[in-house]
Amino acid sequence: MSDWNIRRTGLRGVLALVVCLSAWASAGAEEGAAEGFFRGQVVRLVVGYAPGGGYDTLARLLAPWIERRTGATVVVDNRPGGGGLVALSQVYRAEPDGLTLMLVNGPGAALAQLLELEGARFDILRAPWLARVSAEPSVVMLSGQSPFKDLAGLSSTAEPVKWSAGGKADAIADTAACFSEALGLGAEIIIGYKGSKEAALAAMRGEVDGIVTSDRSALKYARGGNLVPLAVLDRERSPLFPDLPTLFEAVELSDGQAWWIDFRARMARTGRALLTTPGTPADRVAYLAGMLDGILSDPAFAEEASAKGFGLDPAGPETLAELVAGTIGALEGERLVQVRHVLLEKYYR
Amino acid sequence: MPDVLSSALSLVTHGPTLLAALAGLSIGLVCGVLPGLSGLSTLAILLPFIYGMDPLTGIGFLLAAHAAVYTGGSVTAILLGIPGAPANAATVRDGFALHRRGRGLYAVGAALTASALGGLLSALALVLLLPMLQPVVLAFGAPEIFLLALVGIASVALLDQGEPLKGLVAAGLGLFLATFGYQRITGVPRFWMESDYLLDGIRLVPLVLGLFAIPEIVRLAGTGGRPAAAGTALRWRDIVHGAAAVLERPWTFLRSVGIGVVVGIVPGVGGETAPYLAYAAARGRRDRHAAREMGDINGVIAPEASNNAKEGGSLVPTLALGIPGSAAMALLLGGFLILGIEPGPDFLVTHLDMATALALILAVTNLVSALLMIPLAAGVARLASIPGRVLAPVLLVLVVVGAYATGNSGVDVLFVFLFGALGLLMRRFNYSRPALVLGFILGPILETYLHISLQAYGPAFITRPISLALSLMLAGVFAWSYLKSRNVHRPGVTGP
Repeated sequence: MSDWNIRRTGLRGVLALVVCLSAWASAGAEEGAAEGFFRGQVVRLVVGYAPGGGYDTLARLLAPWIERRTGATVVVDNRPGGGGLVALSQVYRAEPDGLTLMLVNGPGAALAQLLELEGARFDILRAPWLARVSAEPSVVMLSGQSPFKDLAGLSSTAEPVKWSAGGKADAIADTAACFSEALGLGAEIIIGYKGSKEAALAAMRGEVDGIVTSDRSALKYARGGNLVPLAVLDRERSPLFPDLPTLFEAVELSDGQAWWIDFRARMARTGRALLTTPGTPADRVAYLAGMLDGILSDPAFAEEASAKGFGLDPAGPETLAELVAGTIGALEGERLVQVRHVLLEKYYR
Repeated sequence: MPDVLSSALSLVTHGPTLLAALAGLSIGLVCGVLPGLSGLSTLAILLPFIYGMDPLTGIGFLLAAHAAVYTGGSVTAILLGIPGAPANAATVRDGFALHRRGRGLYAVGAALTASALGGLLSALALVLLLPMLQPVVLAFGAPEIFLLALVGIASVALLDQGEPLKGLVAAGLGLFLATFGYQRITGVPRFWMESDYLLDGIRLVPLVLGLFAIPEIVRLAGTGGRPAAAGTALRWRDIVHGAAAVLERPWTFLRSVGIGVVVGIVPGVGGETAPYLAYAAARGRRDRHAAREMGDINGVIAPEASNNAKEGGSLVPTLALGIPGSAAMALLLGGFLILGIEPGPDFLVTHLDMATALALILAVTNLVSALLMIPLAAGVARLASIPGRVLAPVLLVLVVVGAYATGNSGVDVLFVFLFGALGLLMRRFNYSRPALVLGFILGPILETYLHISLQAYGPAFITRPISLALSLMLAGVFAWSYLKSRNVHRPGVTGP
């Protein structure tokens, strides 16, 4: 290697270093700009439900933490209606300045888009995801009054198995549909109950055979003894039910059967998540995501959340985008038609 | 039981809890007097304030405010003809008629006493029944809820105005208005005309304000007269006479309390039904034609007693099962959640003292708010002697602000005026407005629970024991109204 070569390499190295440094510095400046942008602004944290529910409580829990980290004033903005779809449609069309955030029901939004529900005027494949706060796997529960006592009993009966739920895409009915499809049950889903609590009450009094609900609700219902948990609909056990087997542990599932459980479980993993308006400058999105990551990994926040009964399961924007793209983004052709048929028609009279 | 009571007492007499309950009570009274602000919207407004309070203090604050709203709302219903909260609408006709004859304070005395004692009794019932109510709640399935709603609509439509056909038409119109927006079962929006507002259907508060308040304001502005008949001085003695009137009618009073408690306990029917049912039951047994002009104290006692009684009832499923008995209770449940408590089947085992303490707060709030309301009533009564053309614009502002404040939506205000026009027509042609409101409230319940009943039990749902009893009751209501109307139209008997 000649002197010149060595010098050239050295020069390259210096050049590269300079480029890297300036890129780093400008990135730092941009981040600084984004950070400075939020100071003194008013950030709307939109919730698609009325005050008092789980989403509202969680948003009000988050608000002061976001205020402390951004220097902005955070207003929790309840916009109930259409199962949260009206609010999401509005946030989707808001000014793309990063000042409107929404705590969304991930599976609910994904289902609404997948099933093309009326009022779902958004594309969550395009929305900038910021962070997932928590995710709840589903648990199958049977009523103490039901003639069916276990998974074997469910699979072997010729009678229709009745599930209760609120509406067709309320995360209860569609999970029951996926579960029934996976096990090949001759099931019937009875909808119309006002929310998961009333649906659970119907199961308690034996109006239906059971309910498929989130692990957190299942824990509460199981305490009364009127509803018995059977299995977790996921590959991993729920931390709330360490002794309850997953469906994969409890029965042998073929690939075709497992698809339905995996599909729904992946969707459930979008959980309660934050997003903002498409078109928001990338540096602001990155700043918000980093800021939320900081809050969600803060042990003090986790402690405050757990005191209010929330278990955290944070995840970043990439994970969320992947989950959404991998579930509703990947469905097409025959499979899409089949999913729509199973979720919207097959188990309803 | 005694130690539960004593520990509940010590919880309640804790300083901040008492203070919070008192604050909640005062806010509730004011919201009750303001038209449009129902118990539901009051709770929604107050909910964010409880962050950081300790559980009993926070819930006591909400519960006190909620209970006081209906006591406050009765006074404007009687003295101004404008229901303070949707549930007070049933009190308007007889209460306001009495007031126009100069017996306003007599009606107020009766309403406040019925409210206070009704609330007190239901709180007592709550304490006694709490430990054993789970089976009762579990016995009421979808078929029973469906039939109870049907009995509710039928009795108000058929018995309210003495013209069963017009009552049924009004109730049918209410059912129709209830179909706007998302259908709960299919998720398909009906009659939404591409408007996001209508996706969630027509709202209750603009409907009630439009139907009841606007016609009254128009009458005031048009005649320039006073709400109270001229030359009738308000006599304070009347309040005492009103209070005595409640005690002289123990059967009306107790029946109304019973209706309130039962309707409150059954989740799904919704508390707003109770006053109408109690009202219909009270009106079913007297000469309507005389009463339409004169006003009948029974028509004040019944709705007001059941109004406050239903709160004790609807606390039962909320506390015992974690399932709210009414929309307001759903918000209260949210309050529990915020404070880190989750009511449910085990709540009564682990927190029986707290449940009892809440019942005590409910009882005390009902008594105190009625007492506080007496001097306030004087203020409202003075308002009532202001000439109509001065009062009407002021009331209109209050109504518009109340309608706007409920949902922060200008469209709500627009609907107040639309329903105001409907209310004017209905009053002019003597169609029952309570029947319309009840049809509207119970419409979705009828539709949903009929669907669930048929799916879960098939057409044989009607043969379940409680269902069968309710069906017989329904047949009874129709037969009663048929006999009544035949009597009325027989020549020689007092005709219309």
